[in-house]
Amino acid sequence: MSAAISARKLVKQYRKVRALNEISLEIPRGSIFGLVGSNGAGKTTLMSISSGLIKPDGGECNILGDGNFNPKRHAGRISILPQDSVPPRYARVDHMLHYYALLQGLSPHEARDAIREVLCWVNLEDRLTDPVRSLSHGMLRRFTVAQAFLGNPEIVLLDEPMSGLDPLEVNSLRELIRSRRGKQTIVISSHILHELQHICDEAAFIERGELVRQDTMQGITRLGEQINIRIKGTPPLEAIRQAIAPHHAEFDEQQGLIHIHLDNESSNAHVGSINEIVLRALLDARCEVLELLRGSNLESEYLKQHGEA
Amino acid sequence: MRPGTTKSIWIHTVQEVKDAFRSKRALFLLIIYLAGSIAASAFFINAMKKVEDRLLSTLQLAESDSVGKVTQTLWETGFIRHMLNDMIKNETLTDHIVQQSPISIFYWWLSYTFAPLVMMLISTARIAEEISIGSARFVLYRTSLFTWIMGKFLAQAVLLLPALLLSGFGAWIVAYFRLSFFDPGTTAIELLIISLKVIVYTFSYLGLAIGVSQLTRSSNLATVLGFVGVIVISVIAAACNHFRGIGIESLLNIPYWLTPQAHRLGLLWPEPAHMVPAICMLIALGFAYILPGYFFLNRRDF
Repeated sequence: MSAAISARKLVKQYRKVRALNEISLEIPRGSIFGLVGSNGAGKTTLMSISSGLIKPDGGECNILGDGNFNPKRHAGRISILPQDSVPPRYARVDHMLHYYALLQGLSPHEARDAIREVLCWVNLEDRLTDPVRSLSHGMLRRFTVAQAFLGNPEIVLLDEPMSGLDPLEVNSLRELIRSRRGKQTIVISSHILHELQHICDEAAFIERGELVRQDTMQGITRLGEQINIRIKGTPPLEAIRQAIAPHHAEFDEQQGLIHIHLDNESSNAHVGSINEIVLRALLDARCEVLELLRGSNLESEYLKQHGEA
Repeated sequence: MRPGTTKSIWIHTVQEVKDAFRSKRALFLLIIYLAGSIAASAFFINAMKKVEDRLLSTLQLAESDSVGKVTQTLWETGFIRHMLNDMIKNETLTDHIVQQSPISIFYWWLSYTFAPLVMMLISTARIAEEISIGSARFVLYRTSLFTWIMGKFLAQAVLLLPALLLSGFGAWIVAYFRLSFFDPGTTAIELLIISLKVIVYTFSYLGLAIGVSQLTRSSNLATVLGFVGVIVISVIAAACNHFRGIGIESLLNIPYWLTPQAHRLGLLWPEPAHMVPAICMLIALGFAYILPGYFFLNRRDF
């Protein structure tokens, strides 16, 4: 089965700024995919091209195996939560969603049900008949998230979906996105990397319109490759090394961190037995174990990519 | 199943009409047409009364309370008929025009002159505004740009119908209360027919309004462009009409036919043989004026 989105040497030029510089990447179908990059890296441009809101200057952006975005082939199959866009403020929530639902190809009856469902997902069911202008910033964000899921499109592009949401709503949105895993392809662009790490199956780092790195979240955070233990005291490093061989251990005195590098992808059971050996050795040596982390995190990896970690 | 082109246009049209009523834009449109028509008709009848009084005073005749009677009498004289025929250069059409009441002729002039201008005021911002606030982005990945533009265009045309019928009614109401020499039934039919013809005429300008609305993200600039467009078209029409002739000058007929003014007179004819081609041309011009804006917007990013 073809990828949900397959970009090949995609180029977009805004006067003197090259927003996308021959970027190529593939977003697998049914995955939850994160786009990570600094401001102006090209994330929004990539999403806008994918949804047909922006025209590329070169290359190809194959959507669902049917070529570049064309409303005849793709309308209703892909949706976007566009950044910095608001629906008409005098319109009512249900009126606007009804309009969008009809364009998605739903019948008026189906539209009514679908509207209630998506508003329920974003906890806005009680604002069904309210005017858009009465919604707070966070509610407006949730409204725009709801419209993106309306009509069950195959691809949902969410540009900064968590911006302006309170912690409860962030949690709710995280659960919503997780619940769609395997049912829809969801692409999220966000600067809240901690959230992306917990939601996404795969992620891509984009900088200056180019793909810097693309991997599974497990691959990026090296969950199966590394264990980090923060301690207070002097660890029996040689004893630990001998006990966990062929895996490798090193100690960062400055940060008080023991890094255990696993020689290959290790299962949870294997990691558990290594933890047991190392922790026993540390406790026997009267070291205080402050923190145990498996793998790295998305933010550290992203910063490392910039040479800032 | 995704809606086809026709259904998509229908969805956009219905949404735009509903939206116009919800946002009170439609109400503003109806009020402006009704108030404009009532005010202008009242002004016209007042002016007519003053001219009649002056005329009666000059001729040393007794002043009359029957407002409009002198005008109606003058209107039916050979002098007016001759003067009109000199302008129109067609006796059949002249005969048809002089059969209309003065208030109908005034309403005809008023609406043909001002309806396009009001249209520019109301409709030029429709697309520019949605692009500037970004609300178009929620729609344009769900539908084609063509169906969206057509929906906006047809919705404005739908709103034009009650607006112009209401303005015709406004003129009739003023005439009913102010004119003593007045046939309510005949004038009502005349005003209704004129209103319907003005809708067709304004349809071409509506195309221009929607066309310029696609050229910019600023709704104010779109309105300015709309008025500039009306002026440019009027100048082209007047210049071509003045200089066109036989030989090489006949080429000026082409730009002249591409202006709504060239087909305005055709609408005045009672016979379908003259009226139908004018209606077809004006509707075609309405669609044609949209196209440059559409091709421009279709190449742009949202």
